[in-house]
Amino acid sequence: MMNQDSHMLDHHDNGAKLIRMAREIADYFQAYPEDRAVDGVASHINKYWTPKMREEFLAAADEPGQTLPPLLQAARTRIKRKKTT
Amino acid sequence: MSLIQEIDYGTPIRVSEAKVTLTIDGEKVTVPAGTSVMAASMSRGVKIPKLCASDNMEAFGSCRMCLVEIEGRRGTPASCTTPAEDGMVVRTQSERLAKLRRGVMELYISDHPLDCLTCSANGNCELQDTAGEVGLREVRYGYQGENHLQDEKDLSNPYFAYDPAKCIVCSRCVRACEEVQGTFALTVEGRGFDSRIRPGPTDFINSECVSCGACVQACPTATLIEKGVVDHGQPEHSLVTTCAYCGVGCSFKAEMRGEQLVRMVPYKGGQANEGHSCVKGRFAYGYATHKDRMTKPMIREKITDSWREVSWDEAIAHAASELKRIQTKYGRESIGGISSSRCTNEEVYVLQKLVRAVFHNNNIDTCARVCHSPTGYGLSVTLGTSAGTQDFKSVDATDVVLLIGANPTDAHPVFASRLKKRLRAGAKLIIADPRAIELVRTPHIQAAHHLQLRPGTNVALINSLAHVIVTEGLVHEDYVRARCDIEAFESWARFIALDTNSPEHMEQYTGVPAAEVRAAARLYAGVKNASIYYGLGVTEHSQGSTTVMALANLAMATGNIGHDGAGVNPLRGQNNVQGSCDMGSFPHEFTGYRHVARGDVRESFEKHWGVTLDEEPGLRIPNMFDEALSGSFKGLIVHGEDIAQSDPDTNHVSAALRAMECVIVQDLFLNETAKFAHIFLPGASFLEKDGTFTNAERRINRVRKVMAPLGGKDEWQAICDLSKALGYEMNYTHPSEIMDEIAALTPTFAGVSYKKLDELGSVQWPCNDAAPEGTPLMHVTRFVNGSGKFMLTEYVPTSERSGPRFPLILTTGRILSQYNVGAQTRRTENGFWHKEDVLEIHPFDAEQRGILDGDLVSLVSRAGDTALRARISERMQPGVVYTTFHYPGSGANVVTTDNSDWATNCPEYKVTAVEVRRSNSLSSWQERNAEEDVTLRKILEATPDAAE
Repeated sequence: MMNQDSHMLDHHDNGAKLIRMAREIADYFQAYPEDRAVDGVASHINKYWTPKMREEFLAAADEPGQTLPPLLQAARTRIKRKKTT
Repeated sequence: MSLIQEIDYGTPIRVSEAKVTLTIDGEKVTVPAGTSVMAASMSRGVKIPKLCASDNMEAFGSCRMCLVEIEGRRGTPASCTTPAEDGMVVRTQSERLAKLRRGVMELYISDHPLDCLTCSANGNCELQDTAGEVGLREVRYGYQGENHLQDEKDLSNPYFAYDPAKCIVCSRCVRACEEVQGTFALTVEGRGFDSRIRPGPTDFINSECVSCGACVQACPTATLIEKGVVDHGQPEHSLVTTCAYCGVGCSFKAEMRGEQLVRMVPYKGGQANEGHSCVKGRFAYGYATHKDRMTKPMIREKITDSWREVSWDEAIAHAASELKRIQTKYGRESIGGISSSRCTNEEVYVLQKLVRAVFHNNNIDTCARVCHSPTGYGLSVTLGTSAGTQDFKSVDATDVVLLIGANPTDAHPVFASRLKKRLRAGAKLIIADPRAIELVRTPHIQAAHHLQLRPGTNVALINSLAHVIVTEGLVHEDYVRARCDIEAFESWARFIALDTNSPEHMEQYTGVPAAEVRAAARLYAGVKNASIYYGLGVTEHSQGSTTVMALANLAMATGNIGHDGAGVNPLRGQNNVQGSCDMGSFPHEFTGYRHVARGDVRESFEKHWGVTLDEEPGLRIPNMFDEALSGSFKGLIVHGEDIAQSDPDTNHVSAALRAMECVIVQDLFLNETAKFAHIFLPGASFLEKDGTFTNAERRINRVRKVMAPLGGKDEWQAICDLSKALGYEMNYTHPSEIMDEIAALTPTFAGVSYKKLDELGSVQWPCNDAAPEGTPLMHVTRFVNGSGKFMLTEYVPTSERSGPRFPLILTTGRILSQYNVGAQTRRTENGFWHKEDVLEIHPFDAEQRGILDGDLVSLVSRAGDTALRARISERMQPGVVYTTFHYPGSGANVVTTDNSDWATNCPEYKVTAVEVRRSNSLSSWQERNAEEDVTLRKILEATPDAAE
């Protein structure tokens, strides 16, 4: 059984969770034609995720061995990057 | 200030375009056709004596007090049962009538105690008043004859007393229970002189009575009376305010003696409840003055330290200092806030303003995140706005109701009564629910279809209903062509017509026979007015938002948006879920659901607030927890919400709270979240507040202060003080000024003001120049975004599935007597009906595991485990278990997981794979929690100079 210590996430766990969340978003838009779907996924993430979450997602997606579904893979380039000040 | 007295017309007010004119006591009166003579007389301000009549129930004609003379008619007809007619000439007073009335009154009084001076109804007794009106001076029969004066009192109900010795058997209580509440718990037993009112063959507490109070309100004597009145005496002044429980938003008269609340009486003028109530709003207000109320600010360095009472000034200064320290050390985005749907619009508004304007980020979220955020998303993308389409009254005109994922008799009882009334009048009901909820079969109501689907298959079911509508030619094509985005419709129609969406294909997922789905779809699509009502059984799923969109699709396809009796109607869980969402407490949008990235909107707020605002969305509640655990989110203000009990995966939540350096809790009680807090600010109950709540029908109702805040400060003021301590002045002197600011910055609220609310009673947004008195029905001539947009809704099964380790599915919900985390209701007599959370399990599953009713069982999921008592119940289908989360110690949310809705991260409370086994001990979490109930809640003895 999990205890409270096992809930201490590191950045990698956060990344994994964000990948899972993004996959679920992609699952929804899968029903749409490709371009609409890609735009839908990226827009959703841009609209509702903080810049930090988006950056962490992109970093996790770049990790070796990470395989994203094609729709999510295609949406990556449309995800807004954090503004550098 | 005086006691608000409402006019009782004696019989229901009829609505009709046809009018009739009659003469009553020489005065011409014009009333709608169908109005009784009694009501017609009252409409000119003249009361005809009455005892068995009340305008919230149909005329009965039994008491014989309201007799009148009508020219050209024989005898003395009862004015309550006689419809007014054109040209009728009525006399309400004459020698003959006076004699008749006195004679009847003598009979009543001959069997009634003469204890008026010591009677708890003294001064507020219709029998007493009527005796005076008819000029009763003697009782010729004496008082020694056979009578009922020794009948035994029934004091079993915690909130009201039944004294049959005072009963005149007018049947108002019986009829109120039937007609107003729809429970049919009361009856008249015996005949003639032996007639007595009985709650069935038992006492009140063990009867089917749901303690709504309708019978008490209806009683014209002290036979049924609130124990509050018995204890404190008759009230002397009252104010109209709004209930702080569910999203129905009932209006009540808070009847007071000084600062003592004597009773809450449902207000007939309340447009949401029209004079009805439930056990919570009517009676369960004792928490407001419960001994557990925390009334002093407190601080501590570590959560393992004892709390130290301090002055407001010290607490606010310390909070500001900590928040500044954290932002300096960890960055601007390291702090945030959570607002509550239990707080007023004005409080929610100032909290989100604090976060956006003073914290300089958008890390503000609301507890609606964990209940109706998918409603906001789903209705926004399809219909164009994040709210239900109708007013409650609309259900009176419905022909078919599709009720999905909602259990209104428990969670929205006053709306349920209205719904039941319509169903008794002939409307058909389709229920989609894994459980056999009460409305499946209840007195005089039987659902036409109970689609008992497996948890987690809502989208599969709704798609299959839509499939039938599309493939069988049941689409309202004229409506769709005129009102909706045709391209989106055609795309949807092609998608939904696929065989994979057919009831026959979906049956493997839903478990609902295809033929039943087809019949239900034909019923829904085959009438003029079909409505959809839904609750958290729709939203709290991994596809919560998809289901909301699917429901909107269904309504648009059948032309069921924009007129009475139709619509898509979310039944909101808490009193101000709608309002807290409206008030800009989602991290991605300002008031009125406008995204933070919109430059024009941001500019209007920047101009008004005098600050630069962040254009990026902030953290949602679950994201806050994740960021806390990863070390980047360190400070949180939690306003009126108990996330440590209400949010899923308790271990995850508590670990996140422990990881923060400053948790500020503002609440009535030292709740579960406060165990992990460093600063506690005392909250104010709804009785101590001025403000507004917005209910499930977008109705903005006034909340009025009837007593001073026990903590010595208004909640909105405490937030403003914190803002000032952080260097930003919010100078309001009254919540009405906060509403003025909301109106100035929010187009849908532009016409809202306290003055208007006081004049009209309430308004439903949008309220602006286009709709100065509000908008009861949305999308009447066009959708707010131009055209209704069909969305594709592919069924994606949840990843939370039963299997060998966790073979059962747990779903959670609430019951009538308790509310949400129980913080309020557990501190009232409502505990009598529900002393602990139990696990409902089907006899088949129980037998397989050797579980007997009442056994302690362990409930285990991949997230955690807890233990609670089993209740064998056939309300569940085999393979599904059910529990509530009203008691913190039961740990229901230790078991629920971090799965959530794909669009909004609303937790998937309704589907958790579990195993259940007999057990002989509590779980380790429960043992630790019990220990922490003590160790994390210690309070140092107050020092003399601590309090202000």
